[in-house]
Amino acid sequence: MSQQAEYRGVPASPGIVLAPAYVLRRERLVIPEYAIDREVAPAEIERLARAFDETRARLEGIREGMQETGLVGDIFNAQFLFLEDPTLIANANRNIEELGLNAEWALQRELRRLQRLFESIADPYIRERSSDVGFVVRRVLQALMGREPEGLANAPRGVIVAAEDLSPGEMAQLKRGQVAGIVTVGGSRTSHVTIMARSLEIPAVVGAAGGWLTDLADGVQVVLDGSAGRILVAPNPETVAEYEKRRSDTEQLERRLLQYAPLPAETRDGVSVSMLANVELVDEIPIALRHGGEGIGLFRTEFLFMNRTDLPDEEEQLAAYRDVVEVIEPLSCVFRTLDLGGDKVPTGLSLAEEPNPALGLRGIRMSLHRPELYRVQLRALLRASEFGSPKVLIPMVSTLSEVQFARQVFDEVRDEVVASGLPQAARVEFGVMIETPAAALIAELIAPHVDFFSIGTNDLIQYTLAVDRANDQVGYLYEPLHPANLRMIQQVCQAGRRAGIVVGVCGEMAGDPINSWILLALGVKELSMTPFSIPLLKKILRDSTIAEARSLVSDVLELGSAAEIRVHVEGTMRSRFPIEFEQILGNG
Amino acid sequence: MTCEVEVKICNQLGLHLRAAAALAKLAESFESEVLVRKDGTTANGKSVIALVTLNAPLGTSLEIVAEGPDAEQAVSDLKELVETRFGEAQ
Repeated sequence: MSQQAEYRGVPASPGIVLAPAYVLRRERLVIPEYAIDREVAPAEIERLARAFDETRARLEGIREGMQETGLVGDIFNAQFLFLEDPTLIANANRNIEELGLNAEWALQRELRRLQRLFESIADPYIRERSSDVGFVVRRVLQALMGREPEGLANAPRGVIVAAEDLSPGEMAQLKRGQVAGIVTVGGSRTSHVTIMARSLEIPAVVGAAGGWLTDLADGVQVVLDGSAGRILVAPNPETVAEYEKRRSDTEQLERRLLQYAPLPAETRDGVSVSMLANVELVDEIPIALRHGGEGIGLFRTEFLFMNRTDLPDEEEQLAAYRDVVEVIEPLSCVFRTLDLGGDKVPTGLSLAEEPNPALGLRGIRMSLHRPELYRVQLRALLRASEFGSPKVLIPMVSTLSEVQFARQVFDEVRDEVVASGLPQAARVEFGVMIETPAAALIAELIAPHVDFFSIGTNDLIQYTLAVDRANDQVGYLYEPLHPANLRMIQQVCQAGRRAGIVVGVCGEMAGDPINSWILLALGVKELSMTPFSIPLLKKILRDSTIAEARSLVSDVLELGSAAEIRVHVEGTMRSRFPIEFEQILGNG
Repeated sequence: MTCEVEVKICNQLGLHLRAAAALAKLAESFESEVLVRKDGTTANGKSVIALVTLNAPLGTSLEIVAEGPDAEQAVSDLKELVETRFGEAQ
């Protein structure tokens, strides 16, 4: 493989690295198969029992390591259940006793039978458990055969680990700073590899298709861009030089910008904006604080509900929210209540398949449909006020009656919690997301019922422009600077100002420095974004005046097309901040 | 002593991993042998794998059979577990 080749996947964990590949190949275990005499059957059964014990001890060790990193392994615990299952052991023993098979053969035969059973089941969640059984049995077989289980414990330092997929146990063996990057064929935005890589701050690309793994040899150079979700295998010297330069530029810029992290985002003429972080995991909070986050503007709670079969109860949710508010205290954290639908349907809520999930049962609509879920979550969030400063944010509202319902339930639950002896719950703020054109247009009617607005620009743009940005045919129409979108934001800010409530923006638009003057001048008071963008935004805002930002906005609001607006905004920002935009946007 | 009872799976998710684990754990606490039957298939009530692979979604009828000194208690406790939806909200 001497030709440079590029492959795309899901951007799982940010960062750019150039390093040699380390391919985790699953050794094909050749199972010894031989007949045994009846007299040695008890000894063979004993050998199998010892292999189970050894495997259990090894997995216990991994589990302890996982607890150290603070990653609780629900997925992992299933493997213990299977390891202790009487069916597995009893049937393997019977294969030894009655069929006269050696232990390895006996166990392998039982695994095959179980895998056939699992494969015949329609429920995908149950069917997937087959791989857990396979993983456990493989470890027992390796113990029987005196083989070391393959894993990442022995991965050389500084490599990019490449694999078909990585089990939670294998990921748990990784230490911060040990490997340079991770790329897998399997996995998605919510899989355990993604979650663990992000918390360990290891750049990662998952779900990378294209057959690149088959021919990849150890030591081949790979460029991995975890921010863009791509890998370059065997890059040519020019590409390497380009990446080296880009990486060192980025590092230099980051170091320089980090000086701005602790400073307030206040313009030269005294208008300040709160800079908040969008976060999904408690482990990301230190990163947010280091980059100058002044609180959490969006904490998505879906994570608690994903990759599991049951629903988290009030106590489990409280424990999770408590961890967050305690770490961020004295700053506050905005928790968005469950926003499911679209591609995010957990196994705990088997819902009807929808032909058009983006327009389906999501956010507040789900809460209306399943009010008990909403109540449990509210109780947990309100109770978390004992340990810090949570705020509640309701997603996907489109009618006034939804807001009134959500507010009424919130008030009821809050009064219950206060009455149960927790006066702090009374100060928990209640806000709604403005992410449908309907909500933006009636913001004035909604405002009296809420304590704050948070504009979710990703969905607001998608719904306003009727564009799915992931659709290659029409994605080019997705434009945050479209005049319709700017007018929506303007109107929401006006409604907020009149009602005396804060208006924030938490979509990707907030983190792109090109938009900073526009949002500032439209009247946005809080920007919530990925932590890595905060220092640059602070630097730009501190170098600006509200007067020049307002002048830009009044110019662009007279322009009729998104294209004209973009040219004008980019031109202005680039000439005002040539160095910053040169480095971020490159030459393109 | 042998006792037998028929139950219907009434939780949303059916006999999935967590429910099966709860059933197996309760069955394990009895001295009696516990079997769970669906149509012609019989599963060891103390085995999560056997229970999960029975493939029993919402609405499935199961027969729980216990054989041993505490069979009566086992059957009645297990029936209650299934009928209270394994403690799930739905």
